[in-house]
Amino acid sequence: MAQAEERSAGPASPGADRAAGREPVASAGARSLGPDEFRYDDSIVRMFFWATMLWGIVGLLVGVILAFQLAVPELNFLPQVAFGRLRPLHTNAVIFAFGGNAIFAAIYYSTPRLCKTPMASPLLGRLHFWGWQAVIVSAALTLPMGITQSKEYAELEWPIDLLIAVVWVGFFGVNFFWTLARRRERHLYVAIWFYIATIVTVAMLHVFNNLWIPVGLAELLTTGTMPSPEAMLKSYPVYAGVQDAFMQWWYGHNAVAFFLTTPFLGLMYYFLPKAADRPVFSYKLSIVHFWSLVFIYIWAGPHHLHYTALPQWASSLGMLFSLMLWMPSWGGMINGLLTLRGAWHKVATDPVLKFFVLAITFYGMSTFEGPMLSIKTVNSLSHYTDWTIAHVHSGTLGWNGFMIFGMAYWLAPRLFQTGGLYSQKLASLHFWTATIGILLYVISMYTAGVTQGLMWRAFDETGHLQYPDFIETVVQLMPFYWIRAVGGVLYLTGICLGVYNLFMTWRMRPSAYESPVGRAAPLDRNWTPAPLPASRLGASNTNFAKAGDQWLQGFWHRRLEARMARFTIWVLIAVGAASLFEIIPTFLIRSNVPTISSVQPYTPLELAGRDIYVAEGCYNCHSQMIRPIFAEVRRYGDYSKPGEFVYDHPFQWGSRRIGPDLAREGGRQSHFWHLLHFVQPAQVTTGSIMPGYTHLVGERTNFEDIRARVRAMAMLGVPYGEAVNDAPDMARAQALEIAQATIEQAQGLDILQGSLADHAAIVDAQDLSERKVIALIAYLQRLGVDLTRPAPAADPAAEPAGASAAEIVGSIGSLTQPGTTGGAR
Amino acid sequence: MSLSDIMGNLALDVYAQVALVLFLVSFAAISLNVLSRRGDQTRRDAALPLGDEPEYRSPPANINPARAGRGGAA
Repeated sequence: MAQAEERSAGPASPGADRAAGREPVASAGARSLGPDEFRYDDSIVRMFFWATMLWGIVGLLVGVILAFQLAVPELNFLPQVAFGRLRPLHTNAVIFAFGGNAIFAAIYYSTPRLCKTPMASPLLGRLHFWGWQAVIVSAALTLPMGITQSKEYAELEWPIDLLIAVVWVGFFGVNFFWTLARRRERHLYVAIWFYIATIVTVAMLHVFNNLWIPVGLAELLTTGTMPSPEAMLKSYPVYAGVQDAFMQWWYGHNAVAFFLTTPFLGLMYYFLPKAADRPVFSYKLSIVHFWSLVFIYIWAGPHHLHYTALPQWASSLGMLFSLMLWMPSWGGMINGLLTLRGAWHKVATDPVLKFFVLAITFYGMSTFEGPMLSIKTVNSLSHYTDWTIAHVHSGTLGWNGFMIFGMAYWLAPRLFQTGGLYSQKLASLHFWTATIGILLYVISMYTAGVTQGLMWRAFDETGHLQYPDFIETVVQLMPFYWIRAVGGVLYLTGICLGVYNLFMTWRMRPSAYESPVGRAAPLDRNWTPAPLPASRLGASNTNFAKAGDQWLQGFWHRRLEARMARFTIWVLIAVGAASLFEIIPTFLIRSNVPTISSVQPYTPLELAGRDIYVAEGCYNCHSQMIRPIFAEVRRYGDYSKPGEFVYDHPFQWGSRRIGPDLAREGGRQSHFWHLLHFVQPAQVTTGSIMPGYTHLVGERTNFEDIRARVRAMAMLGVPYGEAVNDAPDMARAQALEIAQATIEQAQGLDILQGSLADHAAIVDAQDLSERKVIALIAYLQRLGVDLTRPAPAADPAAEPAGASAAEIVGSIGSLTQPGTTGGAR
Repeated sequence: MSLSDIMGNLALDVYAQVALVLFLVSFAAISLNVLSRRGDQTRRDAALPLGDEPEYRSPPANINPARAGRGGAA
């Protein structure tokens, strides 16, 4: 036992040796390495390690700011830091910067040691590191500028998408598999399997969810006209509506699965046995855990779209596989916790084990809750509420955050060759501060979520909605938003303590780091796997029975564990099955998306307004999807149909309702109401926590760019016809019409100007029509109105060329009449 | 006849059941194969992370005493 404690106490480094009174390994001095020796390059691990800490603080700080913005809307004082633009920055920073750098640190540390060979290419490792930091910095620069695709966790625009693909596949993937190919240990340890699944599947998800047409580049290549930088960075996905939503949540859910789960399970299977100084509880269970998790997870995405316009069969499939996820997830949790058998007494004193135990416990809780939330009846209450936020944060703060810091506290003395951590007390303080922070966060959000869900569906004794004004449910949540913000501050404080502790540990480093030396003989190039054992059955049995008996002797998987290429192919088959069974039918069966003849493409101005809606991140607070649930239909109007979204590149269904649903917003309010609401939301709706969008009144629409936007949409099959070339003029005409109507509704320019205070000086209707807010109002007034509009007269000859410009512009005729769609709010 | 028409006529709504059967068969096969393996075959594999710590070759003087902190072992 003493030996075991010594092993867990620190690395076999000079510092550790000295602290333990041992002589370090005899210096090799200038002696070169022997034929079976090699050096590990831990400098790349140190780089990813510090990047993890830096981006962890940044990402969580942004999260805390967002939490306070909901409690104090005045904190949305600049468009660049308003909630809608900042929230994607938070999610991308914590997932891909904090989590991403952590898993790279883990992989670059554990893979060489498990394979008994250094990483194949130090150059590729550096390119990977700097390329990934370039991706993160690009995200930090573009998202606050409103440059976004609006697809959750995949917001980054097309040039950054290309960079991600190059870095992930070209630098990281090549370096990783090249290392496996050069390994000196035949067996691929279970952690390596999880890394393989991560690399292969994330590449597949990223590519298929980021198929787009770059708006500006397409314009440049087809017409030779150079559009604005804003248009150059803009893209539209090739998918629309239901199919775009399906692809997005296939990606979104599996980003959780294969970026925040599988690599962290690999991390768990490697670092937990080392910290506990005992092998994983059951290696057999880890095999079953791996395959069932990889096979099942990939199917579960549609549970994010229950009761939406997604076909029922896909929704049911997602729910079924989500429920089955309980099994492998808890298998992994049990395997992790039972690895500590006989070592539980160390948990009380070892901060590394404390972090690991709590992380695995949160993994168990959130993987119980996830399948529960996928049950349709539960989902009908929880979806769009803060319950989802609580669920996500119990997973990310608890499972991912604590795993990262458990690993960091274990790694730091080894990476910095100090023989120990600067302060164990600080590590324990970090643990308790962050734990209390998580509890405050998730308990307040659970309460807020259930409160929201119940208030939205509450009816009074007369059969009317008990809380018809959406704002009533917002005001009710304020205390919980404050508690959540305090919880976030505590968690961030814990991380700051942790980073300080790690920084002080780094200061204890030796004057020069030493490259640790490994020793292993190269693998035999002429190796062939052991032949299958003979069947134990007699000659009287059938060949099928004999083959089954051979199978039962367990050699098939054992042989697979020694073969990198075959193993990777089987992983591809497992995750590819979902593509076969879910994606192909969704895309190819027309009956999945019944078309509606009255649904027409957006006008050029509405399209420009839609892009503003996307850029401002309105989808972060507003859904555009009325579920076929009685309370929703009473509140918002007729439920959403799949055919309403056939021109929505990208879809804007959203995943949360901090504000009301907007699917039937068109015609509900006057243009002037919208203008006032954008300038001073709290004055129009008392208690509103929506930020003011005064900059949209000041900034002007780039009408010439609209042609490029319409052309890109036409390339995607939206029937714009002649509207492509006439787009700027059509947009100006519609904008002027709306501007004139707005001034009329304000009962004069003076009153309108007075309501804008000092935010913008409007000279006349022409001047007002050029403001971005008019384009956005045009878009909002179009939402949901096509469903109740008469279908255009049948004109088969015109169909191939698309709708005429007059038809498209004519579609706005009725929109100056507010109140055409019913329902309470 | 387009690909969409062909796919539309294939009655693919049974895919949910087919997927479930596929999973159950795969799961049962892998579980049987893995769980029937003898325990001693996995003992070495499971212990791989415990024996991979490399050696350090530098003399103790490599540590900078001026920077030594007050920490105990982690």
